[in-house]
Amino acid sequence: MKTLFSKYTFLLILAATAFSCSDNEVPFDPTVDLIKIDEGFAIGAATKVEVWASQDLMAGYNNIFIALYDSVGGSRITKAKIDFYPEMSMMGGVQHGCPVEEPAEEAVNQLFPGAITFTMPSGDMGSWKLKIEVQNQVNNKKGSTTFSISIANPTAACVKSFVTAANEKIFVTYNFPKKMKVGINDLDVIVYRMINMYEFAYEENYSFVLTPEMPSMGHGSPNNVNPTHASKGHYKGKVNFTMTGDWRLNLNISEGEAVVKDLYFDVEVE
Amino acid sequence: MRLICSLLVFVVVGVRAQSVDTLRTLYLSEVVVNSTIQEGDTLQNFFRANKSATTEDILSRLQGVYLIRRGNYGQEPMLRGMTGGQINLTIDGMKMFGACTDKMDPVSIYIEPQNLKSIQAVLGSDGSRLGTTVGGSVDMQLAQPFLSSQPVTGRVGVGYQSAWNGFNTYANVNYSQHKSAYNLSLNYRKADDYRAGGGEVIPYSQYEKMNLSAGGKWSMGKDTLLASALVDDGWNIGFPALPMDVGSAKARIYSLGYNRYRAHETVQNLNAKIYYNSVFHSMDDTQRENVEMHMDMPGTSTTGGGFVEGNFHPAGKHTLSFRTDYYHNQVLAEMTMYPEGASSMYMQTWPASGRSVTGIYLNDVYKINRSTQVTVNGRIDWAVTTLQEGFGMDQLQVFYPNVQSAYQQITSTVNGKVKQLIRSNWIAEVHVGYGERLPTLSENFGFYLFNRYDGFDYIGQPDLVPEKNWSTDLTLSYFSDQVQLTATGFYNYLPDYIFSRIHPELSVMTPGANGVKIYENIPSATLVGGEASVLANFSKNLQFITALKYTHGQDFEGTPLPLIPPLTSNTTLRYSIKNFNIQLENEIASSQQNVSPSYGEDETVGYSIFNLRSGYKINWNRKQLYVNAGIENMFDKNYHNHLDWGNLPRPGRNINVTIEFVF
Ligand SMILES: [Cu+2]
Ligand SMILES: [Cu+2]
Repeated sequence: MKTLFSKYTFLLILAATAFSCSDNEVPFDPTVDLIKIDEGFAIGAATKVEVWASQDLMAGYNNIFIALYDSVGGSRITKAKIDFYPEMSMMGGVQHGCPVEEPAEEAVNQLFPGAITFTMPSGDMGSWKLKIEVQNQVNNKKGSTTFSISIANPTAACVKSFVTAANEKIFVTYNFPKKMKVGINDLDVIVYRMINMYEFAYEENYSFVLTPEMPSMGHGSPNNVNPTHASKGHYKGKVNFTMTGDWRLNLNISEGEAVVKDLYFDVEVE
Repeated sequence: MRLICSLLVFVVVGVRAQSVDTLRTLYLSEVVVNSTIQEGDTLQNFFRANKSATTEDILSRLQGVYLIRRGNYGQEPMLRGMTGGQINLTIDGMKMFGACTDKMDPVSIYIEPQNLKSIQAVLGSDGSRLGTTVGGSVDMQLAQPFLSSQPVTGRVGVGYQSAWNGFNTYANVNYSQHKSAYNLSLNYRKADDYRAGGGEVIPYSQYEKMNLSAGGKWSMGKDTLLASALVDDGWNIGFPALPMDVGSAKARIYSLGYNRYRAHETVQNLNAKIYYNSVFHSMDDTQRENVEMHMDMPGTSTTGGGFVEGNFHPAGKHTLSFRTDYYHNQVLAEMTMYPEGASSMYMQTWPASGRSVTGIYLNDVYKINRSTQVTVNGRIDWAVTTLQEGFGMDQLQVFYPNVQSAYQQITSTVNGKVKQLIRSNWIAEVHVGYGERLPTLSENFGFYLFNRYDGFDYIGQPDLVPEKNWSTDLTLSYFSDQVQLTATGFYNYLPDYIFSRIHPELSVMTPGANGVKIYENIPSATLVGGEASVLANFSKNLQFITALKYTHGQDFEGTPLPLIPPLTSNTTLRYSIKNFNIQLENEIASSQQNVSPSYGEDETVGYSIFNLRSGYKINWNRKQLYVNAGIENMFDKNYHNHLDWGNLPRPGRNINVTIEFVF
């Protein structure tokens, strides 16, 4: 704790010094907490595309941030329509996509935030490619670029799937808008219904009972808020952690009166 | 030199003046150790005869004082059924708070009898000189260096206790110059697991500790400067009644004092001090077998403050004394658990939090005539309690989303006493008082504090209001040359009593715990009881003292409160001749049937034990050699008191020998 604290203090002081020395001339860097996954040129749109994420891409819900630049002048582009086309080529020859959330056409803090829920890791099973199509609203040109991406397999599954009684395949994943901490945390549970190999719909009619627990101790936490549907398959709730360590988020899913599925996600709170 | 002596006498008198009461209080509530005060000779001699006594042994003999035991170490003082935040436990008027979430370290453990000049206990709200209170105060006054015509004086001793194969070694040196004096004392104790009555060895009851203190005193005419430092290190301390032991307990106490005496000025006597103390306490269960999951629980508590106190020149029939003080206490207790094959788990059982208290106290003694004296005193405290933002606050938000980073509270105490001499031998004293006390930081912000007694995890409650006490005491005393009798009855009505309630909807944190309790103010509780004592001088050589104490406690629904001591009596018969003394002691505790099952209590049977102590003094070349020998629990009785956690039996027959050389 202490080392962490002092480290942050140090960074803060460093940051403060940096600001104070520069007469406020330092340009705002929107990617400061992000890591760059890859970059390429969407040829037809004369646009350079940078792919950023809050962490290495992994099987599960990934917050993706796209930065666009004019490939000639280098200036940032803050108006564009961006489409994600992720695709996995499996060893057996099968190919499929995964659920995506496309960014809005207006950049937020100079970036286009979106999300992709990779349903499998890459590796022996197959490999992922991400095609990004850009409709540059400045020059009104359209083009695309494709990245080979590697999708890590997290220690605990971040996306789970099951088949309903109606024989529909459902993907459930989660996202913490802020880094998990001890205390009260906002939690998004996101649910997609698979339509075909490349199309996924938001599942909006589920209800959840959320019960966090520490499996190694057998205890839970009080005053959690069950996720309820907000928009686009995102169910918003609150989860409370009373200590650091390994927690399990138990989710009982139902639709109306009918029980749909019980599943859980294991998370580590630092 | 003469001046210094009169000053010394004054200091002693000053201490007595602050206690306001006369003879009675002195020998029943104040024990003077290593001093020349004549009053209270019997008790004083009792402890003189038992040089291996710990501070706790001494405390347990005070009227209205009880001890909660969790093992052979770190017993917690209790005044008439009140303990913890309900009482002020101070060292030389300095506030100091333990760093253990399980109350293993009441600050009395950091004081060795070698460092101790006297203990002063004032019961009930009347003890508010050191802070507004409901239960009273215990102040341990430390021995100061003294000016003497002999440059070097001191004592060296070694003691042995058979029941725990315990050794106690101490040395104490006073070095005096013309206008300055210095002292240094060192004490080392080591104890193995103790043997209970009947032979059973109680595992995890060992301990080892070292105590070092040094002081300086500089006299400048009527002014005196004092500096002192105390270092107490304990390690490998077992707590058999708890699931964890103490790997390391460290206390540091530093103070700078100033004393001023002007007999004819408005402020006659002025005493000022600034101080700083810190406690580090680290619990772990690495020594225990069959532990499901190992954990570390370090805690720290630091306190800094200062006070100015004194008394005014008597004006007419009034004598006014005052005290104003400030302290800040800061605590943090952490817990890290190490499950097998999973990431470690961390939480703050006492979130980083603190409290600053500023207070003022006034006491007026009004001597109406030779036989009637009225005392009125009052105190007001302004407290700011802070919860540091960050981890601990985030934690508490799980229970209290609106928990704040600062809380302000004002508490006060008012007391009135009338003391009436009836005929020439009887004194009646009536006390009526109102007191308030702050919730402790543990009661405010504690986070899953496991209580081994009831097996519940405890959660604090930031919105607790101060606990109150409306109390009255009536004391009757009779004095003659041969006999002294005292009987006191007390009644305490405590609105907003701080207690706890089970919350079945909450899941426990500690594996195997019975449930979760949250502190709350209950409508009220009542504590009634009394003390009585008889002191008789049968002859110049034969003395007899017996003391009885009783407390009954219940909540507003008539349910017994937990940890209420049973009826207890202590009797001593002492024979002394020339350089030899011997005393037989008997301690009786009744059974306790008024128990709190929801606190995990069961009924406790009574007991009666006998101790024998003796001392022999050899004069040798103007120096003395003291040899003390005794047998505690002579008949090796297997017993425990109702206040002993976990029904843990107390030590069995204990043969002890102490040899002390005084130079
Ligand atoms: Cu836990
Ligand atoms: Cu402890």
